[in-house]
Amino acid sequence: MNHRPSFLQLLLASLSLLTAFSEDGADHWAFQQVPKIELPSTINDMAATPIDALHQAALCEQSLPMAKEAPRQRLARRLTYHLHGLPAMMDDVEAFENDASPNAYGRYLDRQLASPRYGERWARHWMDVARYADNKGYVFQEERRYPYAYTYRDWLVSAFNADLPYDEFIQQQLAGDHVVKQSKDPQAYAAMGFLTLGRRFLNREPDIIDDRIDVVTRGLLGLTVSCARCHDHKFDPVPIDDYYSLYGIFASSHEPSDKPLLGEPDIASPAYQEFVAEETKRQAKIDDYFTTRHAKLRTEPILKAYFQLAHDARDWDEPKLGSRAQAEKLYQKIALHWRSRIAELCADDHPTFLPWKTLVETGTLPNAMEAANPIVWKALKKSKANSMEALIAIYANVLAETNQAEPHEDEHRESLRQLLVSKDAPTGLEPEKLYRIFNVKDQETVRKLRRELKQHQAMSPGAPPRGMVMLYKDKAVEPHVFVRGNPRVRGKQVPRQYLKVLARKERQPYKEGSGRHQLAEAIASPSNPLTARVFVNRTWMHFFGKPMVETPSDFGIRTKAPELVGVLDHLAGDFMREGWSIKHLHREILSSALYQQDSSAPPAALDQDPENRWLTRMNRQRHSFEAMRDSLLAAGGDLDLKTGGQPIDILKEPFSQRRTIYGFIDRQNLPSTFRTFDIASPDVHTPRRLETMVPQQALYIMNGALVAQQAQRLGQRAKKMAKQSSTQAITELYHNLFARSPEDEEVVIGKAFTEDWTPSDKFPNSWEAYAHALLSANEFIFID
Amino acid sequence: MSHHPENLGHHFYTRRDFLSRVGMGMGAAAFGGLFGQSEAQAGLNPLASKPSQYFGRAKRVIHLFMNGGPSQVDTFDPKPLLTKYHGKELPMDYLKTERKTGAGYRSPFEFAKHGQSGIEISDIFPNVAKCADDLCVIRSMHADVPNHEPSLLLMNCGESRLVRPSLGSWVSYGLGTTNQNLPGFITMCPGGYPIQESQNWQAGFLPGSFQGTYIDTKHKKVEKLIENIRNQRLDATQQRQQLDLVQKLNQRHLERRQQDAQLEARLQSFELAYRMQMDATDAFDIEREPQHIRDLYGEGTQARQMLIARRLVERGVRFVQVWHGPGQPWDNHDDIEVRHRKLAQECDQAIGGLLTDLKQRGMLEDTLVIWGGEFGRTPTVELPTPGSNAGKINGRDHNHYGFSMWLAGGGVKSGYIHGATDDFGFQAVEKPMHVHDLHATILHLLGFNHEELTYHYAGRDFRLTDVHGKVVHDLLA
Repeated sequence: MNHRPSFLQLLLASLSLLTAFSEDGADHWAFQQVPKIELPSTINDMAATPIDALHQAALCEQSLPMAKEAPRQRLARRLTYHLHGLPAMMDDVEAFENDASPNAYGRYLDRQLASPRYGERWARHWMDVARYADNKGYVFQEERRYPYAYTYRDWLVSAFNADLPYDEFIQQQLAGDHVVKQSKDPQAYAAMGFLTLGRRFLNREPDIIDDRIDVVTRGLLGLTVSCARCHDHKFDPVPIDDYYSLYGIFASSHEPSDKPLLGEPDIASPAYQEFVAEETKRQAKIDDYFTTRHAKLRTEPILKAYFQLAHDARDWDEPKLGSRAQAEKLYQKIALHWRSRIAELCADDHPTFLPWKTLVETGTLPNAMEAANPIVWKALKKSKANSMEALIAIYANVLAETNQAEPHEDEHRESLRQLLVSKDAPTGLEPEKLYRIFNVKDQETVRKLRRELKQHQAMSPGAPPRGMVMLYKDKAVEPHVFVRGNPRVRGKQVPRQYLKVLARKERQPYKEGSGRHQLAEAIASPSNPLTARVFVNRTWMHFFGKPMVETPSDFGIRTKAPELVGVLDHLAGDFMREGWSIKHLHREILSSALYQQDSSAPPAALDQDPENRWLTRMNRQRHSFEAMRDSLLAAGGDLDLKTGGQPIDILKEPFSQRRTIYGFIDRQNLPSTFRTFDIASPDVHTPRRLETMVPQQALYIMNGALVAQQAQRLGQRAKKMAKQSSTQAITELYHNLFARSPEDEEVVIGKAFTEDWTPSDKFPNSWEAYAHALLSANEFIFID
Repeated sequence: MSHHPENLGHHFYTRRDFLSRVGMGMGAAAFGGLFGQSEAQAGLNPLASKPSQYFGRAKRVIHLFMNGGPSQVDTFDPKPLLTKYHGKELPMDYLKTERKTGAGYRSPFEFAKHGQSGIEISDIFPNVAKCADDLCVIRSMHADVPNHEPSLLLMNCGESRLVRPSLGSWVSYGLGTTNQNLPGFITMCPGGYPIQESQNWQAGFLPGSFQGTYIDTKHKKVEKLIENIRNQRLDATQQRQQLDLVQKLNQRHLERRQQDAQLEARLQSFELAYRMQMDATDAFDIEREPQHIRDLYGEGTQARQMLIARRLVERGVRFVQVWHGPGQPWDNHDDIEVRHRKLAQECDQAIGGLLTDLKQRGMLEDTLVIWGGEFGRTPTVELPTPGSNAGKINGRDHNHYGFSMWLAGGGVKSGYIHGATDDFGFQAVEKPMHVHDLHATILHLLGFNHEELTYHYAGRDFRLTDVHGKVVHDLLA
């Protein structure tokens, strides 16, 4: 048979080579270095910033008009919503409206950027990326709560407030342990929650690591590397080998059960002292559980019971031995161990067990036995023991008597003690090792006690904050490919190293440590074509209601360059040149005429650009759940601005007045209120929240207890004020909720409503009904 | 015909979508379907009703989940040989299950043939047995592992470890729901959650509104059943008065802006919510059923939730899941005789009633009823393990190698037995049917090719059956 390839085969082969070449991503826009964008020379008056120049040049080319500048009241509400997730205050809006200075907007913007509310708003955006939750998901009976997840959330808030450069922001999240080594500031430990606070999949390592690879690659790089877990990526140049290279990096770290402190606790504070006292108490309870049970194993009656069982069960099968052990409340595993141990000692003619062996084999004991342990022999002779039962009683007695912590001087006594305490003795294990020995019921009790300890550590207000770190293992893992993703089928070994698609040809296997901090450096490098672009695009999405690249976590080959790719690249380049300053990036975008456009479009723009792909106007946006709830609280005048700390249940009555970001997020059973309002699923990294409009949302507003409570508060105040002037009461509500004064007709409507209202016993206050209606109105929830 | 939105944003929220509907009014608009259109147009309401891919005999599903794992050899898969081998080692290689099991253990229940079809059913299900000719019993089900958590996830989500959408979510995604005043996927469990909790009805990466809405049927009052369904202080007139003001304000707000479907949609959603208060109350209020219907279902929680299930599907809810109880009630490692009898007694009349009722209303032909657990049980007796059972040696361990489920209605062959386990009921040997195959078949009955009902997420297209599953044509009528 002719094995030479035919011409056709050769042709096909070379064609597939060609395709392979173009599919390695060499020419994909997002895999190119971020270029320096040439700004168009014709910049008109409207073009306040470089991105305006690019945007307007693009509009010009498309013959598209853009909207005019939005009125200041709208701008004020928009900025406060985007930067704080809160309603604008009437006083601020008025001051801004009346500020005639040329830089009024800039000053308003600076004030907003400097507020601590800013960090809370932007931390929450990042929490979507980081699939933030306060617990592990389903882990059977283990304590579910992550006691220190909140320290990651708080770290995020301060990182955004302090304008931590984005490259450091990444490095701390991926390798906070490494950063702390240099900076000596333990705060960076908290940043590693990014990696560690995902779902725990019943503690299966491959799934936990997969979740981490996913959050890092989609979250920071916009690459769907997890697709390569079972086979090479179908579209992007990510071979399965690369997946396992990253796998090795994460598998080379462990999570210590004792998390490092984020600073010295205030040991003088009563809350801390209370915490420590209770912690000690709960720990002691666990220790006692083990030590008492452990001590009991070496007591005479218990030893006797085990010896008797070991003897009786010489030829029994395990289940039979098991049920007898259960009946006598003995541990099956200890009983099995004594049985095999005694068999060995007999077989070895151990001096202590020589009499035992002899009696078992011959049915009687001789008058003398020189080789026997003299202490045992003496006791046997003294009691004239001649049955196994009597012998066992003597053994238990003699052995129990030798039990003590220190060695005996007498070698025979010591030899007896060794039978109880040596490492291979059935009772020689450390007390806490008893866990494996325990029956399920004991184990459950221990788990319960441990859970109580963990709960205390998690919930006690005095518990000092700690970081959910990963640390390098002593020895790095040399990863193997899992064939078709199956951890039981190990394929070839791969080095721990960076992704081929981004490293191109220069990549070197990571030698120092696991490579986690080198990975962080490679991601946070200005030569990385994706990192800045992906972040700028996410930022853009939050300001404009939709991203430029429609798939914010997938910049792979199938993702086309957006219409305004020049704007994206300019901002990405500028972002890196300006030291990765997030506030700079924000200022750059928010200062633009592009951002300050009104949401009403010129008719031609509506016609030619119905989807607003060219941003011929601002997109109208609806409050996220967090902003909605915070606004409801702010409207009632009782928003509690306390920052940080352990999460709180925000759905429980009496309602907490704190900002929504501090609410407890239960990954396993995410409350339906959260789901109804499209908050990011904490199961996996969320590129982009959905925006649905379902009647359950309206039901929450119409009938929900929190809205009712806020309406009641507003209504009571309005009623009081209406006694003097109902116009004043209405005006006050409009100021409060919409940051504007009512039009005359709106006052008329309001008066008519409150006068026509039919009061009932349950609902006497018409002003409350009125306030509730205003809280329900579109104007409260939409930002122009 | 692959149908997945390129990205979520486009799917639910495009300006073109909005504009194309302005003028029709959002409430009246028949939203675009997932299939047969170049661009997904599900619009703001992902639950809008959509046509299936091709004609499906089933329009809705009721899944009766016997969580914990009912024993096949004690219910729908009689094994007379077990009587012979009772107390003796079975002449076969024992398969590895979760715990140690010993000798063969005969069923404590009597089996008899029922109906024209002569399907054998044990005496703990006398009322279900009356419907034998409507059943399509699958005796050759098998799953992957003998543990509850992964098996529950496999049965519900088609994947035993990772976060994936549940069957009910996929069906809601594919078909939407015909009654916008009720959730599309409702899951009921009296007294708490089953093991693995709300992950059993998770939407995974699908939009949150496809997730099952959990209802604790322990409660009888509707306001306890559905969140925010009632205003505690406003009566209907007052609420209407208030809503009229809201809408007046919204109208003014809208007039001062350009047409924006978002604004209109929210306006409409309040009207929808207002009506939903009535409709939902009605759906859950079984007091409105005539006495003879309530008698048909019997007394107790199971009867109540089966009757609610019928009222829900009747009102257009697409997928209803009914769990037996919290935790894993059917997980009888001990006392299988007493416990299985009691559990069956709790639900038998209600299930029989449900089938009869659906049939007499002509609904059974396009309602698919599914009965089963996450796996079955061993034909051998479980041996004592301290702490994990009571050591009574009268129960059965988990068994994923072979177990029974049954389907009824919705285009399945009735009075039919599919496949078989070995002589003792340990392992599926004839026409073995994996859970993935069941899923593929269910989707087929609903009018979907399981390989094409996909969702693009994190760089790839996902489907319920992943890379597995084949439609079992033998089951189709």
